[in-house]
Amino acid sequence: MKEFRTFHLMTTKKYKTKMLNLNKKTAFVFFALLTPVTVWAQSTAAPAPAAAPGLSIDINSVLLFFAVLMLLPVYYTGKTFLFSAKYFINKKKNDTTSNGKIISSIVIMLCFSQLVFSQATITPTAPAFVEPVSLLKNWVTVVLVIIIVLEFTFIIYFARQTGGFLFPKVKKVASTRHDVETNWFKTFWEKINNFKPVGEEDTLDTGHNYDGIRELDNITPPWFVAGFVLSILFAISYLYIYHVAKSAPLPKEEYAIEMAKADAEKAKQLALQGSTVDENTVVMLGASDIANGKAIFTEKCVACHGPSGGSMPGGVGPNLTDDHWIHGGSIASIFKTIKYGWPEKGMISWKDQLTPNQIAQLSSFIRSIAGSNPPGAKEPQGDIWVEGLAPSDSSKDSSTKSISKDSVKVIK
Amino acid sequence: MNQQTFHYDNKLPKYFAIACIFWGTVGMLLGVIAAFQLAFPVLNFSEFMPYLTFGRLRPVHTNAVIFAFVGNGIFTGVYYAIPRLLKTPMWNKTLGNIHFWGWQFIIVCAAVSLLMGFTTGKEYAELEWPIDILITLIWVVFGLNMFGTILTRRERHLYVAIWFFIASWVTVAMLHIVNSMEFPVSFMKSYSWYAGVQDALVQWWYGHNAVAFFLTTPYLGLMYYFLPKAADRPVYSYRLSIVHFWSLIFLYIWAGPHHLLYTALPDWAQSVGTAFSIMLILPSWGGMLNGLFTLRGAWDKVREDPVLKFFVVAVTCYGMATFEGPMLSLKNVNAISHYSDWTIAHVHIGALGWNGFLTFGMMYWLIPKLFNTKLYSRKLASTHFWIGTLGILLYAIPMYWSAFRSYFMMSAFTPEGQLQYEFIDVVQTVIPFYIMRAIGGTIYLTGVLLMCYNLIKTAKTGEFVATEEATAPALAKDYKAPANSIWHSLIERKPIMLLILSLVVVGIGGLVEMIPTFLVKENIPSIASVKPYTPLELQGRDLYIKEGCYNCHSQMIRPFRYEVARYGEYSKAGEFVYDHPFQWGSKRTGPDLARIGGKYGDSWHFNHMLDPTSMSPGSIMPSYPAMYEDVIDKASTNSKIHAMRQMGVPYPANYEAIANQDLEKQANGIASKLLIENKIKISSDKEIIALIAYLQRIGTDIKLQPNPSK
Repeated sequence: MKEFRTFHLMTTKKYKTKMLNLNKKTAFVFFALLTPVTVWAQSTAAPAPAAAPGLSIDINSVLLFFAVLMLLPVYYTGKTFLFSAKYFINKKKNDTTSNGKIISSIVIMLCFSQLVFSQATITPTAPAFVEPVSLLKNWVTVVLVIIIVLEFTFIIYFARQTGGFLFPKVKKVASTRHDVETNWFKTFWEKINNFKPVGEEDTLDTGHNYDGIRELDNITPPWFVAGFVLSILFAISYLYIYHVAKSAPLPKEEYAIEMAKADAEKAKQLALQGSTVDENTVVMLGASDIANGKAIFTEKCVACHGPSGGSMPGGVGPNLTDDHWIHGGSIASIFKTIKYGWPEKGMISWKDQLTPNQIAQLSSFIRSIAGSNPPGAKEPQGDIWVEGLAPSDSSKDSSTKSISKDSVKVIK
Repeated sequence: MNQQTFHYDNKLPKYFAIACIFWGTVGMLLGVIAAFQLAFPVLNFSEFMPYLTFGRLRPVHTNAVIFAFVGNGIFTGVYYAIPRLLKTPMWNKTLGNIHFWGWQFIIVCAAVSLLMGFTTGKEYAELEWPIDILITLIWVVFGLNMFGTILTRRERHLYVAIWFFIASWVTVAMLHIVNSMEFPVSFMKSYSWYAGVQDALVQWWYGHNAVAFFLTTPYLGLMYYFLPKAADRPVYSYRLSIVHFWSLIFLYIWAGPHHLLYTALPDWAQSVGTAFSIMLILPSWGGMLNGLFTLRGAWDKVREDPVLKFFVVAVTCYGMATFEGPMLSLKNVNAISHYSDWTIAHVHIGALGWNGFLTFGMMYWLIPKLFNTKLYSRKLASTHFWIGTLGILLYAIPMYWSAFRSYFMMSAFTPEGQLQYEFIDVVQTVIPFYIMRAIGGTIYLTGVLLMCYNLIKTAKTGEFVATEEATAPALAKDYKAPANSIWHSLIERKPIMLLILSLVVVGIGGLVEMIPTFLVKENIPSIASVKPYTPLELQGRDLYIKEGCYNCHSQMIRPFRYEVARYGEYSKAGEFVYDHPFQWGSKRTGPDLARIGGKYGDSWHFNHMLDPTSMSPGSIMPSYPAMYEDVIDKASTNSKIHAMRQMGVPYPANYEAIANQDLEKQANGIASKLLIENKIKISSDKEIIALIAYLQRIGTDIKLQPNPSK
């Protein structure tokens, strides 16, 4: 018995070190394979804004790269697995004590692994649809992530099974009912928590007994203590960075940075598109733009101004289809009303929701339905506005007046 | 040693268990209804009656689940475990009965008053002042009974479960009393003593720690009793218990401000909230580790025993939720999660997983014990386990997904710098997720119904054991600790010392955060243009609170580009100095209202409150037809103005006398404007007029006028 125990210890120890080596090797190869990717990903991530147009690195391309790269370890671990499984079967065949169950289960596993390989070869075709659209809305991203997770699972599965075939477990004499099988995770788990074997727990008993509940005096897991210390250090540095060194932006400073960046981008975009029309330069646009304006109107304006633009008796917004205008009926006045709104009268500002071009299209559409007088419209409000005749704005606003005069010229 | 014989009472644990399961079922059913309301607004039944709108139902759901389901769950465990851990019956049966019936009476009062619209407008503390007083009294009764038992014990040292019960009791008392400081205006109406930023700080100090000391620490106490009992294994580490108990209760209390990141709360307080939340991870995990490691050597049992299965998932959910929480308190994560469904998912991992499953496990273990029989069907219990787990997943996943979808949509800008989506687009996108979530909740509730059936059957097969006899020697008076005993054992045999130490430890965090926020003026820079509400606006604000608008609408614009573009200039601390209570909200099912004033015309609001879809097609908001018929309660104006002035709101002297004249003047103005401009005929004494006045006022004190021609 004693001899057996020592032998058992030796074999498990040998097995452990071997397994560890195997794991180390796989891990090393795996991470060695990954290093260029991470380096590459980092190097591309940093200068991304400066990257030449046309070469956009999005999350999907990175994921695709990973997925393809991981085929290599999947392939090799799979091969090793197949090889070791065959070896195991041959050995078992010669072994008289073998039972059919194990072999049949291995055969099933083999078939399964073949299936995996056939699937794995298909995977690279999927990412052909990659488009740089936003995360999570993109099913391709989801598919790629699932593929990578599957690949990971297979690598771990193959590696574990191979280990099992090459170094079959020595059947232990059933010592306790807590007889647990050993694997690399268990070993790692026992180590990281500094577990004492369950059989030795009597030495840890505190002697407490509360209604039959005993308490052991196991040490707190080492990683727990380390983690706690680290989190305290994190907390101290967090407060230091924000409130002593002041080296990271607080919410309102973040906001200032964000806005400055947004303004710069906006200006650049607008310059690029030439979309710089404002109330001073707006002109009546053509039929296709008016159609776009109509679409915007249907989406945003009908709640208050009615589907026809004529509002309704008791409606929130004024009738836009008659000759009466509260804030002027010229294209420029309409543009200005939409852009800045008349908040005290309930007209909201749309400049953060519509582009200048869109406002111009919308203004043109509204100008185009003036005088259409649909049935069931709201009663007139404001003064009669006639094209070319100043003063136009009944809201006693000098700047608007001057603009509408200008715009009249433009229309002519 | 002279052995003494005594009897454990099983009657109150049984009563509390029945109450727990009953209120749990009711509370969850209300949750399912509320979840369906968000997808199908017709279920608000607001055309017929005002009592079941989401704004009133959701507080009933949260209060029922927290205080009725979990509350009775705590008491079940306490009344069962404490006598056995201390080898003595509960101290006083009358106090026990008062505690039981008093608590159930509070629950009924709470449900009725919340549905009737009596609310303080502070989340999880919505109950009005008479009920608050009742809660305090019953809590004291509970405390007396618990300490009476502890002081007459036959076990010298207190077990870790009891440390948690003591700390929970004293902290909940402190939180409830401080946060419920309110100025009564009338029977069932009061104003929070604190205003604006300070009110927010106190409220989330309370809100966060209600989660900590009502949903977490007492349940850790239950876990420390029922888990080792059910697994028949010794607790893994006594040392770990000591470390995580003290660090947990000390650190937890500081973390409240992480509910207010990016708000008008002073930056230093926000950072303190984040820093302490991160430090909380491992103390919280201490409980999980001690629970899971206690099962070492019993995992073969876990595979078969439904009780242990429930415990394992409960403890795992606890671990996940307490890791997620600190992550959510990081600024950049909070920017996404705050106001979104992420928070909802997070709390339900805790509530359904941790509290729910621990309660179920406890019931499956306890009820057979109380009836001296075996569980009617282990198979059914296992089915419940799988159904429940599936329910949690189906609840949580859609909520996480919806949170990310909304974030990406909310923060999307076109290259020209315009917001890409309107708020209503986001609402329409997340409705399918709301439906999925409601289905997940329904599945979870189905599991609970299975449990009810199983437990009733169990009770019927057995016979109730009203009392259990036990013997133990009395404590010797002249106890001398052995020389090698550790320092902590001293605290374990001095319950009053433990109580006081706990109070000191939990008191520090709150004091350090609150005193400067209340006393240092720089923390809330005053703004000269911010004026008190007019009487009509004040009445309107009370309607806003009454209808629970804060359940879906925030009044706090954070300094982000996409929020400022969508809602207007970000909110400043000085804007809220007259807000008793604050109404910043915690979830945006509807848009933020901090700058709603002047955004739309009066007639827009008039039409919108009567039929939200008329002004905002696709809206899921309930309608409020009752406001067009009920009249403003002018009789209350006097005492409302008076209460506000008592709390420091600078109304002129004797303004009460003329307040109603001002109210009528403003109301007539609004009514006549509606008539002239929009041909809307409405009598100026209707509630809707007051609400419009309030809505048009919000955020206008410092509103920047965008029109350059001004």
